[in-house]
Amino acid sequence: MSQREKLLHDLKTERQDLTKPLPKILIIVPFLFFISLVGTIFLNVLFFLKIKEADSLSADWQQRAESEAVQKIQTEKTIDLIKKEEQKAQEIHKWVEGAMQIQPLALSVSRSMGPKSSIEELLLYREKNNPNQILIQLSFVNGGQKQLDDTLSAINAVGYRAYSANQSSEQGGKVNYQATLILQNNDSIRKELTVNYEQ
Amino acid sequence: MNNKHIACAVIGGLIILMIQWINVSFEKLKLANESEIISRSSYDSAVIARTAEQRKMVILKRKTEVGRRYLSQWDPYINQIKSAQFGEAFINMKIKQAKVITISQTFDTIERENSLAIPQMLNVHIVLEDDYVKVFNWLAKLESSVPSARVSSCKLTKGQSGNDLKMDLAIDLPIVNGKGGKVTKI
Repeated sequence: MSQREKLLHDLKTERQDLTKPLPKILIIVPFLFFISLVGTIFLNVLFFLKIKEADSLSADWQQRAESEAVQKIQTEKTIDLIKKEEQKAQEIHKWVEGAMQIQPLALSVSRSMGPKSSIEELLLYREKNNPNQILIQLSFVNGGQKQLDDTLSAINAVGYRAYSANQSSEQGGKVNYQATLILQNNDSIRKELTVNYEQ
Repeated sequence: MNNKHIACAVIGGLIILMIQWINVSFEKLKLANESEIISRSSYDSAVIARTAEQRKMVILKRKTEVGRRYLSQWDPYINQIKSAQFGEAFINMKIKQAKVITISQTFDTIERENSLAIPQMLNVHIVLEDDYVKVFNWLAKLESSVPSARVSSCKLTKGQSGNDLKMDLAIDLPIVNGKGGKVTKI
């Protein structure tokens, strides 16, 4: 026995186990411990990486969804603008319909007067609710019904049609005429005239 | 229970703790995956909503094309009179240019309620008396130079002498950027 072993032997002498040894099956416990330790480290690292990946994908989808939502809001704004433009267009169309030139009408009425007839008063006005309709009030002297027919033909020639007409004659050859004038489509007038001519 | 039993129990406890940790991590992974699926489905629904809205816009654009073209064609004429002051100056300039005798003239700015396109209009009331041809030519020139002007009333009577004509006119001029002037609500 070497000097060193001798010294150790002096410190810890051989002795009997105080407790019973564990069942042999429990030899599995340290193995299970080491397997669990390795497995835990491996699986947790794997799960950690997968969680990171899923989080990043989730953030990516969310960002994309937000970008889609922004695009949708922009589209909605454009739709609103288009709707407003359409509303404006309708309003302007209504205004323009009621802003047709009145001078050709007034001129045609005054030019339709024969050499013996003369206009006492010609009033052309538009109603606020229906500005595309023109109300005419005409008073003239001399010429009677023939002059009125000539004037109505002149009105038709500039594309207006009279309805709800009222006429009255006074002493001294004065004729009063009232009607509502509606602008006709010139093409339809032309078509009607052609059809009449052909018949 | 001796020390060996305690050591075994401690190691067993540690094994259980490690399994529990794996389980917790797995649950977290499941949650993360579910969250990703939810995000993806929210993206899908956002795409569907955006596509539907864009389709709606395309259909609306196509439907309103004629109206919008009409608007763009008329827009310069509707915007011709910038303000009430400009309108007054414009009418006065037209009268001066034509050298037509004016008996009276009044200007009134009228606010149009619920109107998006034409929020205000300048109501011009003029009484002219001059040569028949001159007066008619003046009106024709005015109407052609401001196509959006609406003659709401035109009264013609004989003038004081020979070929003269008295024209009592009410004209409405649309004002889009109306500022200043006397405003009357209608």
